[in-house]
Amino acid sequence: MRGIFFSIDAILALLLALSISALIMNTSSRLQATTIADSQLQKIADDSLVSMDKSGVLGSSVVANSAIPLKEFARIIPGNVCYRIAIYPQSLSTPMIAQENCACRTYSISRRSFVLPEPGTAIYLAEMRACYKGTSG
Amino acid sequence: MRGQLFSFDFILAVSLIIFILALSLFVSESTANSINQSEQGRDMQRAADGALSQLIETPGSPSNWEQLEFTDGDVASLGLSPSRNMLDEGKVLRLFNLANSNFGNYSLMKRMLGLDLPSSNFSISISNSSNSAIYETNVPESGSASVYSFSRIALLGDSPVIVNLRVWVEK
Repeated sequence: MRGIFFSIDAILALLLALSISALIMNTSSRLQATTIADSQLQKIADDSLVSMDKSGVLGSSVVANSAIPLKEFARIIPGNVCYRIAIYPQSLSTPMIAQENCACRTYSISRRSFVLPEPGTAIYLAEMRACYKGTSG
Repeated sequence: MRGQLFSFDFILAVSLIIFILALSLFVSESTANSINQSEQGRDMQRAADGALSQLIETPGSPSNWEQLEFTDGDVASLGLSPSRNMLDEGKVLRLFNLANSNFGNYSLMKRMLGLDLPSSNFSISISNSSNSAIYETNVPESGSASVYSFSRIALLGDSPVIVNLRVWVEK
């Protein structure tokens, strides 16, 4: 009987050790996947704003006071990404132009200021929020 | 009777110990394998991420590498963008010509991009907003267990494009 008691102890200990190691492995692999996905999302947002600025899309949107150039550009953004691109006049108050395909509850954010020389130098702020579609709220 | 009880206890205990030992060995082995795979995956992801950043954010070294002989001595690093996220058509053309011309160039390119991990291969493609490939390397993904794919947005001329880099380990 004593032997059996000892074995149950050992089995319980083993089960506990197994559960803990499984939990650690599961958590660490999920954490790693999330970190890489977040970094990718951040790069997509950064790249989008840099490319929109350098190709003059942000400026065109402001001049035309229209989201159409943003919408045209946004066709390149991968289909699994939810985004909201907004242009603010100097401060982050109310966006003057905004374009979004779906809303995000938690998101990666990127901001870039740009200057429009005509008519009269003005500074604007472009902001892009992005999340993966499965995580949008 | 006592001896028999002892034997039963003994056999049961030994069986359990053997079972527990075997299970521990199996678990430790599979944990080690899983950690190894995860480390290898993380190395590949880091390498792919770095290679793509190198292509999208730098002009390469020297900055006119596309006009030079593609050798270890003449070209130090590869890059496609004279200015961040703005691809140079000449560099892009040269890169894809080199990658698709012969295996020697492909191997050297792999080393210059930091993708020379054991048994690994890579492919690059540039697609437009209709998701059609404008440029792509012709390296088939044969029997790969895990493929890591990274994408960046850049400008080719005035048009936005997606630069996609795929890295995988050959089985």
